[in-house]
Amino acid sequence: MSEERVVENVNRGLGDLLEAHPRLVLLGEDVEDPYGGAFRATRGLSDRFPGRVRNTPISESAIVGLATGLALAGREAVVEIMFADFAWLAFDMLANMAAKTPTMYGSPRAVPVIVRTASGAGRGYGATHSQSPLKHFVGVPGLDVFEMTPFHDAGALFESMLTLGRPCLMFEDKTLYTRRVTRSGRVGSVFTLAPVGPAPGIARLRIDGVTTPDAVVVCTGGTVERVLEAARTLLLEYEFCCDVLVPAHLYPLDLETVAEAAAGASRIFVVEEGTAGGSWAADVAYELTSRLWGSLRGPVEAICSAAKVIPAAPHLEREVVLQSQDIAARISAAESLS
Amino acid sequence: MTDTRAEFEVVVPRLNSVDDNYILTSWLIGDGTVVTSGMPLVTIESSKAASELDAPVDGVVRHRVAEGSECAIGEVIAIVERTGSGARPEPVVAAADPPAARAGSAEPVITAPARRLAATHNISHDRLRELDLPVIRETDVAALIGAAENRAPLTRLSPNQIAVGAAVAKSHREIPTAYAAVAVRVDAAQAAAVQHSRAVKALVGITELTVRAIARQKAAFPHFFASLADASSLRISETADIGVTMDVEHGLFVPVVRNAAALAPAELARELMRLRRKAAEGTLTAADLEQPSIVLALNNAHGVTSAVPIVFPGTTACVSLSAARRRVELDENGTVIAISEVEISVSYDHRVVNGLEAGAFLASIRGALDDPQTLLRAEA
Repeated sequence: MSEERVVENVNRGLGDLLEAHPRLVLLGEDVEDPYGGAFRATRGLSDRFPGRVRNTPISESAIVGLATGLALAGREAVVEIMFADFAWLAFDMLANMAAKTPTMYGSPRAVPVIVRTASGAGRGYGATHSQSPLKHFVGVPGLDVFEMTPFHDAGALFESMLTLGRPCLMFEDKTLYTRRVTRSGRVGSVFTLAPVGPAPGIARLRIDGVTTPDAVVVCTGGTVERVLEAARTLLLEYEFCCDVLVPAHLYPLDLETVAEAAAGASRIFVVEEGTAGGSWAADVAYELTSRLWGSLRGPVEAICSAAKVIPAAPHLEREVVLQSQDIAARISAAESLS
Repeated sequence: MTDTRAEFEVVVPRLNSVDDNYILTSWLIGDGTVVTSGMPLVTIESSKAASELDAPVDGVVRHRVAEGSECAIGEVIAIVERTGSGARPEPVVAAADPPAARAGSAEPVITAPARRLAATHNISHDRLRELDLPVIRETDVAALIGAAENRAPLTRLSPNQIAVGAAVAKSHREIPTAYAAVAVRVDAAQAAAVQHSRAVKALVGITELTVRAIARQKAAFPHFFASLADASSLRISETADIGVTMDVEHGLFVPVVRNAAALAPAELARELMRLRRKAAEGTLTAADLEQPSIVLALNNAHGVTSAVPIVFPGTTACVSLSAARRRVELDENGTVIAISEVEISVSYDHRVVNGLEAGAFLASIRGALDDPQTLLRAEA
């Protein structure tokens, strides 16, 4: 019996959430059956929870505002934004309303709102349906940012988000939906997966037999497949061993756990799919450099996609969007491997 | 038994522009069941939509992929055994066993450096598999090679060889050595040596002449007959005590001809013979071996044409003498002549001696051998 796919895991997590929280509602464009969302993440839920899974008009700002209002009225809400490119339309509601509501009214207010959205390229969807706008949502006080990974359980992540009592934004890489979920043990032919740090934990993938890696790569859930492929290449070609750390909770990042897990490796790389410039990866690189300066043999490097508009043609898309070869090339250049 | 005309493969088509793999969500027609062309056969789900594939022909369906499995574009997920044109469907009793999932054959991942090392040592893939490691690195292959080598019985080095090894290692570790060589024509020296041997009834040869030639350099080149006391001072030997390498059956020895300059050619020949005999008998004493001021390494056996000696610890230079070889040359008139030639070279401690001086030292030895009559004359 093969493991469930990420989209099935998200679907199951949402179902469990609706089950466990009777006042929780799920809102979004075309989330009701039979369509069940553009990526089928909400399939079966409107039939199973009539009235609590609701199609909305096409207005991301209105949907997030509605969810925030529901939270103020004592309910929990999950919002699906069909493509992360449209999350910008809800930026004002997220940054100025939802994120500030817990602390703006004299007494603390819980805002148990989860906004989920499908991000990332690799499918030839063109400039406005392929982006990874993670970086624009990082650093907003009161807004926690997550990204789904193949190594975390969506349901557990959703529960931890509700517990925070703050609005949470979760990116789900659309290429990840069809991938299998892995909880522990072997990943591919050379990596072993083990979580580190407090829940929800950071997934650590280590090459079998390695005790001290040559470098640590911190990456998002959407890029992990490419990072592992690059790490495999570096192992096979140069016997250069990378540990790969995959946090789901990206902002604020558990830097203590990352720094602890990276201790001993004298080189660190941070990978995200978003475009270079003001990125999550650059922010994490800065934080790690500040903490680990003195034990590093080179700067912590941020590895991102090119700062360019994403073309629709697959061969041109590959030139702009970060590929596994780009990651391997960046690391081998930084480490002068040949 | 396979008759392709009687069977039709059901192949996964490309369902959209982005996915390469789909999920076979459900079989609509059971395994071993009869279908008619055009009936929905199976549901395949992409990341965007579920699609039905229809039976391509009339026949009996044989599933090749289980429900819930991934299937790739171009993969054969079923065979339809044709029943048209009079062919009879086989009676189907029960669904055929699904093909057993291939056992996770633990094929190791082998790094490129490991592959290269294994190839150069002819280590087979099977032996690498026997390591039973998920990832095989260069060090794993090296260990395998080491283990193979460790199986060979150990051979003990002789005490002499251990001592030689220590001296050579010390030399390499401590003495920054440089090297120079000259070719020396020895026709005249050979002829003179033969004549002299008859006259004095002792075996005088190029070796003896070379020892004499070296001994005569002491006044002009004192730094070659010295020992470095510390980084900035030198102790120059009072006499030319020339160590001569003697490679005998049970080891390498360097007995010393004391004050070689004071010995007549015949005396020198006899002294070398005495030392050689003692070396062969293994009766050399500490006094025979102590403190050479310079060493002559004889590399003139087996037609050796060139050798780089080491500088023995406690000395600053070691001269090497090659075997003589015959070769042709043009004389000053352009006539082809046959000559005999040896290579005389010197390894020297570059902390004490520089290249120009080494060249002059070798040229002076060559000059002495070019004039064998003078060289054979007893010392003033």
